[in-house]
Amino acid sequence: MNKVKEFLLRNSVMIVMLVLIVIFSFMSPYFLTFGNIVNLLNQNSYFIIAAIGLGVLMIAGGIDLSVANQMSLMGVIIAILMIEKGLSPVLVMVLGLLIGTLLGFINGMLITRIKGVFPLILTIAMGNVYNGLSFMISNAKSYRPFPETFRYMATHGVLGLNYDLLLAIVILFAAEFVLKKTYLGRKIYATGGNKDAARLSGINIDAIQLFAYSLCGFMFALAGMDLIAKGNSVSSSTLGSSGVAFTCMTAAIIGGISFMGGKGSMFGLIAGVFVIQVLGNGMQLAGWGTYLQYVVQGAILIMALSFDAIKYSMAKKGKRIPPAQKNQKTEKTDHHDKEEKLHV
Amino acid sequence: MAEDFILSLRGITKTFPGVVALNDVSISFRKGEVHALLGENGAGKSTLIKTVSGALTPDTGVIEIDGHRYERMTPALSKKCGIEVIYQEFNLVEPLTVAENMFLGERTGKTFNLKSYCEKAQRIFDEWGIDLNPAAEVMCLSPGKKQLVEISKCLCHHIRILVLDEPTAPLSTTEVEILYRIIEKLKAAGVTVIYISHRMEEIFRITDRVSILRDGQYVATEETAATDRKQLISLMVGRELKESYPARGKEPGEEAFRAEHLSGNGDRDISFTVRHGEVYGLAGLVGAGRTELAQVIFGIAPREEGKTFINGKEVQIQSAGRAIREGMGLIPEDRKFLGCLQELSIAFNISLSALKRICSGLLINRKKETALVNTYSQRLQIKAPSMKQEVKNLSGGNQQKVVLAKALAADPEILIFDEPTRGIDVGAKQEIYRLMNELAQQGKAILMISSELEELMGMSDRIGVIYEGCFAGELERGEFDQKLIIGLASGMKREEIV
Repeated sequence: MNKVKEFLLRNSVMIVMLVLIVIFSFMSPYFLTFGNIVNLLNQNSYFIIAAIGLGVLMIAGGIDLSVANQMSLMGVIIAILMIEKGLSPVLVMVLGLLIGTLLGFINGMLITRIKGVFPLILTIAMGNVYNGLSFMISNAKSYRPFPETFRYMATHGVLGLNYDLLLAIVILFAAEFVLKKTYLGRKIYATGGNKDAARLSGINIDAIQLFAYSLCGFMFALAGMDLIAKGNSVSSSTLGSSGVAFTCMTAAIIGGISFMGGKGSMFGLIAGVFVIQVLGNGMQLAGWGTYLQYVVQGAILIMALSFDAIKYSMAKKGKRIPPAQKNQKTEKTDHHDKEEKLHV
Repeated sequence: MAEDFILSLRGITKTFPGVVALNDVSISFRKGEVHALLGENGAGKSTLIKTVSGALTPDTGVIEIDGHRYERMTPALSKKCGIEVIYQEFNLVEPLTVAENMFLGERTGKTFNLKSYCEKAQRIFDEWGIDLNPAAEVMCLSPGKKQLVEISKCLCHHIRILVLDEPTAPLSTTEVEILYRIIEKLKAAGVTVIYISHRMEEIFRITDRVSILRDGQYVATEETAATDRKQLISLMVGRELKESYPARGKEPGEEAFRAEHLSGNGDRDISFTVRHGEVYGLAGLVGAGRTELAQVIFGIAPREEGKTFINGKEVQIQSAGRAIREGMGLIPEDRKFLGCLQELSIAFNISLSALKRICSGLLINRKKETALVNTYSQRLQIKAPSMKQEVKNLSGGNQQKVVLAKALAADPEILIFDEPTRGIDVGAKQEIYRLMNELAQQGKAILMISSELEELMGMSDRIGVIYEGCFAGELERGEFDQKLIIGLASGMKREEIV
């Protein structure tokens, strides 16, 4: 009985995905066709790239909720440079990546310099800053169309798979490789797992966090450009309010990346991305409205979070308590009792 | 005169897994006396207090208050009996005002009225001569003032027994005087004060009687006026050496580490040397500043003044990374939160400090990593089904071995052991001692911080004693003496003790 429970918990993402696929293939005959699946993958290349950025950051113990606004700010700047100023698309793309990295870097700097600040709140604040800047620069104007060179990767491909999707897959493997096989990857897991212990082990945790925030900014710039190229237009309002941060966070948590950091893999993350996309696509084909999809997505995140909590409490139950912890426990009850005393 | 005992403890025994914290302790407290509890680190003072306050339930024994017998206390019952405890850590709601903290959870009238709270608080302050602004936010107060808030909180209840656990530690001299005055007034009002302190001068200044605990056992109760420091210290020590410590063959060699006039993190002007192949013990009471010193040496806490030398060469250490590169290793006191990454595997932990050694370029060389992990897990005999096992699933002793392996994998020359055997069982302790000896014999220099005096005396070649952030003295192995060490650690001069 326990083994079954453990199996279900360990593979919960896969099971949820299978159940969804079965449900939607019954609801819409078009769902399981080759065309729909390729389409689903092609549409999601930007989502995969973005989720990798946020996923790595979350493994390093950080979080960035300003990513949508980073995309929007970077998007309007490159649109002006490319469309209004007529600069070379390749040059502007490089600039775009640099801008994205810089925006992430700024967040990272603030979080590592202001000791004790909550990244969650700080990045919401920075999101507002970036959002305002984006509107100031664009005057809420919409820019289109983009040059063909800029859109090439998002619109061409081999065997029905677009180049940007292939790029996303390459990045996925590269990220997994870096996390699991390199020096740097170890430090990222260690920093996310326990900042203090990592610091005592000689790891420069500020540098690692800065790197993770910058990388996240870079990935979102890449994802943002991919998204703009796909839609062939950009405005401050569409990108800024796209909810991409929330979606990526949901995907990461569904995929087993802990909100507390130090845990998870890129392959789990990708499974999380697909659960969300399959769900969105399936609901669309089944004719459910967009707004209902928001409700479902929120509910899914809560489900994923409670799975995480259940896993945690199960792990705790199996744990042997050595005397040192026992002592700490008594100290805790002590505080608790004191509090109780106060309320009598 | 049995009738004037307000609180009597009879045959209190409390065991934790692996330790007997209190063994058949019986003490009686008179009405309106100031009664000190004295004992070494881990003698059982705090545990005894917790059984009185109801935070812990004794295994056996009776608590008698005013002739009522209780098998156990609860926090609510203890409060009802008029027992208030002030712990070393503050229990205050920092963003609220002094008055709000004092009457937390009480209802005065239908609506919340800060003004009436403040007036009430002010009346209490006037009565006891406390200089506090009831409308001040607790957050902005000095530690000393916060302590006064804690005391005031007790004063506004019907109080009959007040327990103070090391109350003067955060206080300045004038604040200590205020505290003494309050204690005098409480005494005059018939309140019994149970006073835990390591400071001898305080005990002689304000207490009427003093009870000594040693190793969870009750030793004696003396009239303070009829005793002296020397007698108290000799009552505190005299623990039997229960464990055997493996002997080391080799004599220590050249100087490996030297600290000169090191200050920072609460410590002042500390100088000492550790030689290759030597175990240098640091003794002191809990909170004397030993862990803080280790943090300064290891670059985790900022250094204000002073120099450190490794093998005679001056080193500037500003971060743990630098310390490790300079050949130092730290086994931190808090194994669970600082020593290792609980959620990650044994292998991950062991290779963390030694990433450079197992990398080819930027990549991790799996073969080298496995070899490294196997070497150290075998050397330390870490017992686990697989090195992929998460650290949190291991026993305390095995977790400590992982922490050790992690430090050793970086191949340090100088090792700092901060409470290396706390909370691990006897067998694992022996293994850690054996390992420390092995390391010393290989010529490594070891700085050992421990609150267990017998362990410190058994393992060290020399012992330095820290008292309130200052270096109180140094002892060669031949002069090791429990009385001397405890005396120095309690702020006495060497001449006074010998």
